Amino acid sequence: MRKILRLASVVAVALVMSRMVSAQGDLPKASDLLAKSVAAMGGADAVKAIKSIRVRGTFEMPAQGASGTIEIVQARPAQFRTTISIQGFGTIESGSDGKIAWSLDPVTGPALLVGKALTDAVSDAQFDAPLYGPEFVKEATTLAKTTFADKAAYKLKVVTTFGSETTMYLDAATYMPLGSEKVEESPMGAMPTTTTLGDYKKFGALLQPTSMVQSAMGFSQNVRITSYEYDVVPASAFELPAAIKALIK
Amino acid sequence: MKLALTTFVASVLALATLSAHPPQSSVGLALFDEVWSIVNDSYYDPTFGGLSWTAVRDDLRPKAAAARTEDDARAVVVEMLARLKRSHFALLASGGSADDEMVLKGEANVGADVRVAGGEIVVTHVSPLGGSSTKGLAPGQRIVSIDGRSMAPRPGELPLMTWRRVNAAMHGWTGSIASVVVRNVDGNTLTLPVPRVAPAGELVQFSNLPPIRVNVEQRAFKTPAGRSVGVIGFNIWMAQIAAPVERAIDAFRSADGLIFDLRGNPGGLALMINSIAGHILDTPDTMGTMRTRQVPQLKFVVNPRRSTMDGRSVSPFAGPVAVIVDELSASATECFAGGLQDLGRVRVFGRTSMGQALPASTKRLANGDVLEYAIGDFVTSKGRSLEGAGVVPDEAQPLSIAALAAGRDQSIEAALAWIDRSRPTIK
Repeated sequence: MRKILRLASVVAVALVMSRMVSAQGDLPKASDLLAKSVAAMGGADAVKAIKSIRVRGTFEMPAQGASGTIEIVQARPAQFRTTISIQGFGTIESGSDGKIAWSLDPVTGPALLVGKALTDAVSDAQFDAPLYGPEFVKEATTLAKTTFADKAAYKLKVVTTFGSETTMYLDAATYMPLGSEKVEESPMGAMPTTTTLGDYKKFGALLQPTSMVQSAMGFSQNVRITSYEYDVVPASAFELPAAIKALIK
Repeated sequence: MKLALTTFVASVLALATLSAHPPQSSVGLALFDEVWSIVNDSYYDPTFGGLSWTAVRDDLRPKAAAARTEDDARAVVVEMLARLKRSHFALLASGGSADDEMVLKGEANVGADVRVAGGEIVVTHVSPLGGSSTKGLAPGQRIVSIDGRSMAPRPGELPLMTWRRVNAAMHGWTGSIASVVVRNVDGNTLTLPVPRVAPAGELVQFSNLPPIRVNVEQRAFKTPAGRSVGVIGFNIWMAQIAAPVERAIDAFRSADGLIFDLRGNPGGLALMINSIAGHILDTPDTMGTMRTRQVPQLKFVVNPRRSTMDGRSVSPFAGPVAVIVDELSASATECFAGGLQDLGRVRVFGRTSMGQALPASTKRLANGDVLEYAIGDFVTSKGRSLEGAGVVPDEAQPLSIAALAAGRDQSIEAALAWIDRSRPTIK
């Protein structure tokens, strides 16, 4: 669930935060902000009721003339798979079962992730991660009230028990996530990435973003989500590609 | 998702060296300012190597403002980009090139490769796929004219521009007949009616690049000592080469040696060098690094290929590997050859490559033109920059008309001989 909800930057239920502190005395506690965000999204019970989720949309890098489709599936307890098909390029796939994580695309070939890339992927795979329980959140801090995407926002730092650190921005008025900043790890090295979210719409009991812009290295890619479907993902959706199976001893 | 971002962002880098064409449609100062700003924000070296980018703008902007035609305005932009003295800066006009001589009138061609050497246009290879259509054309011949137009290098014309002009003349619509005048080694001149045929390969349209035929070839050779060698060649680094190259590697997995013939390969998607190198390296070595304005260092790390797409466990090829390049090998090809050369994994043959090895991207501009612009440099694991210098072969084979006319491929021969001398061990 975290994969999709973090992708959507939905900061979910703030249940029993292990350590929620405020960097400044006059700022709201991170735990309070996260709880309000979860409530605004639709509530913890709505999240807990979901066993799997499928997200579909389109992908575009307009300046570079690239476009395609995207599908993300995720299921309890910690499975995810992302498939992006880009015209003239091929299919980029990645996934995790909560223990191993992998990627498969035409330019890199089949690979098992290692190091921090593996840590981040496994962290993202945790379906209940957005609940931000003590098994997942090591520390959450309200850093400042600032502006993000031209809106007043609370800036939070969230460090997970997996060692993954993300800076989140919550809308100061609605508490819905406006975006995040993170240093993404890849075999090429660390790449600072900014994600901006918007156009929230109701899908089932949950309010979900339908617009996402990710920026890195001066490039931007736009994702337009067209559907969120709950409890429709078959187990076969997570079957490993043959090339990845062969890598696992 | 993050993987998609990092993979795809990296993948749009280091596009092939594109031809810079004088532009056509009206753009004016808006185009000049847009291009200046893109370069100002993205050039990998914030010091511009000592060049004052602001001074360049101040110097040329009045000229752009005074441009009376669309092409004049674009010519100023081209002049501005030239001040950088770096590869991978090009402006592609939305309406095509105003320079008719450089325009490919169709994708069909006469089925021959040429190089510019010694002031002549030399046929270096004739495609067997051309069949009877190329009958009469042969390596070693010098092209005198095509369709009545002289192909001779012009005073002051760079060899690359000469090649592009000749290449354009060889192209045309499928079924059209090129009247090619050639001079044989014996000095005799022949006029050959050569039908243009569609090239082999998958037609690919990716990013802002024009449609490209992607073609992978494999050939089996024997060394003088009887060793088996697989030769793999591809014309561009696009995602579509992944599967056929894997099949070729598979076919030659038990061979005594491999040769990557990358002569004339202008580059493509930068990240692909990690994957293809993974077929011949068993460790995740770093082939090189690039710096960008936003990220101080990104590594080109080999992904050792230990499985096939159909699910078989394999090991990367461990025998001797040669790479052949020439003066038309550029960009990703140079990163691949130079990176592996400095890792000590390959021996490079042929002729010094183009020396245009800057990772780049493209961007469609407001007026519809496409700007290719370098956003990073590339240095090998030994800290060697390939920009300008190119990849210098370990064993060079100057172009020999006599050898070509005799049906010899000196670079292949040298690589085969080296494989005979080598022990089939990795690193």
